[in-house]
Amino acid sequence: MRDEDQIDHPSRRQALECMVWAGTGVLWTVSGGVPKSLGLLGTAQAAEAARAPFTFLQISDSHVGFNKAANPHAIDTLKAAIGEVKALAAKPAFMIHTGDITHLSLAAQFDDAAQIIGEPGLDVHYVPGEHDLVDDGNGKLYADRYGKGKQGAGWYSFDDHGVHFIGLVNVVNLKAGGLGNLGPEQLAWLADDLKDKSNSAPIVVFAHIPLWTVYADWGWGTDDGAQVLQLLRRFGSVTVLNGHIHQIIQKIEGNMTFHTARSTAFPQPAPGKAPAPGPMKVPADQLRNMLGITRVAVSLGSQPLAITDETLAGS
Amino acid sequence: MKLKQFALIAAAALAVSYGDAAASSDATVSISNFTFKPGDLHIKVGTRVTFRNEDDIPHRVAAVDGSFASKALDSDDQASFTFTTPGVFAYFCTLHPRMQGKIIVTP
Repeated sequence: MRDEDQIDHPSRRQALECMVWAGTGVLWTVSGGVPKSLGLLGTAQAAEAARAPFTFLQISDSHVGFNKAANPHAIDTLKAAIGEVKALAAKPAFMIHTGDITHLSLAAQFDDAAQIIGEPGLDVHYVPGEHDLVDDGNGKLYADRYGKGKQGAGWYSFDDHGVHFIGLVNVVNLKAGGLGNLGPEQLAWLADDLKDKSNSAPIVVFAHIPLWTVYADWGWGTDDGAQVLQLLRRFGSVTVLNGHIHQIIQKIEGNMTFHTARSTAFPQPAPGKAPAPGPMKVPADQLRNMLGITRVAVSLGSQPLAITDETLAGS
Repeated sequence: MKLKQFALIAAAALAVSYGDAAASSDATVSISNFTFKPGDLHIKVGTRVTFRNEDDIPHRVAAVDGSFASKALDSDDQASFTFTTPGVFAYFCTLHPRMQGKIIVTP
């Protein structure tokens, strides 16, 4: 995908491959469930940002404390990502963090993460990853820091600019042999939360592990995720944002757009392309092409959400 | 009910230890490429089993019946349990629950 002519006028398929495999920042506008590539990151991004009433950012899988061969300096790549956030011309409304803030749930790791991620001065809406709940208190450190005003293991919803945001927790009480897990209490809460919402309300759902099955053999899915999708089926615009798999995979199904974000710490292999889903070692000069953040532009009325993925390369 | 009683007995019979245990332990389960090796481990009562994480990502070993659990094991960390009750102990990784194994303890 280095051929300029090829990326200048990407077909849908080419552009998607471009996003997933080469890490190029291609802007997508999703309208009525049909994705439309607007072109390369840059001019299109600027045009979209000018049109959109607001944008928000997704950051994921910071793994503060990770220092293994796949990226001995994970804290520096998080700082680089936050540097990009601070440099944005159009200030995003807020950030969401889709979990694995820390690598081992240590207090010092939570402290470092909060300090770095807090630098741009944006509100950050968190959901936990499984790496955030392995302290001796089984998640007490996360709950003390981010659990206030939330339900159960930390799920919640909020409204911003007419969009209903829902943060779900699918990394608690995982069952032997299973995938991600939400549990009946959370599903009942979600049904109640959505009950009075109009079908035309734009919905953004975010959780750590993908709510759809990306690759069951590696645990990349949620056992009761289909029940969430069933509850969301009546809505005209649903965007599902996840992390956990450290790479971009996107899918459109009816009015639902599914998108997974890159990590800022280390890449993981494509589904089934390695013996196991652990940290993937790549040449040092390629690492920052495989790490990044996600920007979402919301245009109300015609209901498009434009999802832009930006790598850390060149920063 | 039978299972519950069994779990209680097992919990009382297990002891956990961390750190420099490999040299004196009787059996080892290595964790690499998100797999417990061996997946089925046959031991005699009284054997101490050391789980050692050889991956670049943390794992956490826990019995399905709750009778034993380690803390999160970072790379090269290990945890040991001594099995003093016969039985079949199924366990998994609470972080990556597709990872499963069994300790088969005979008198």
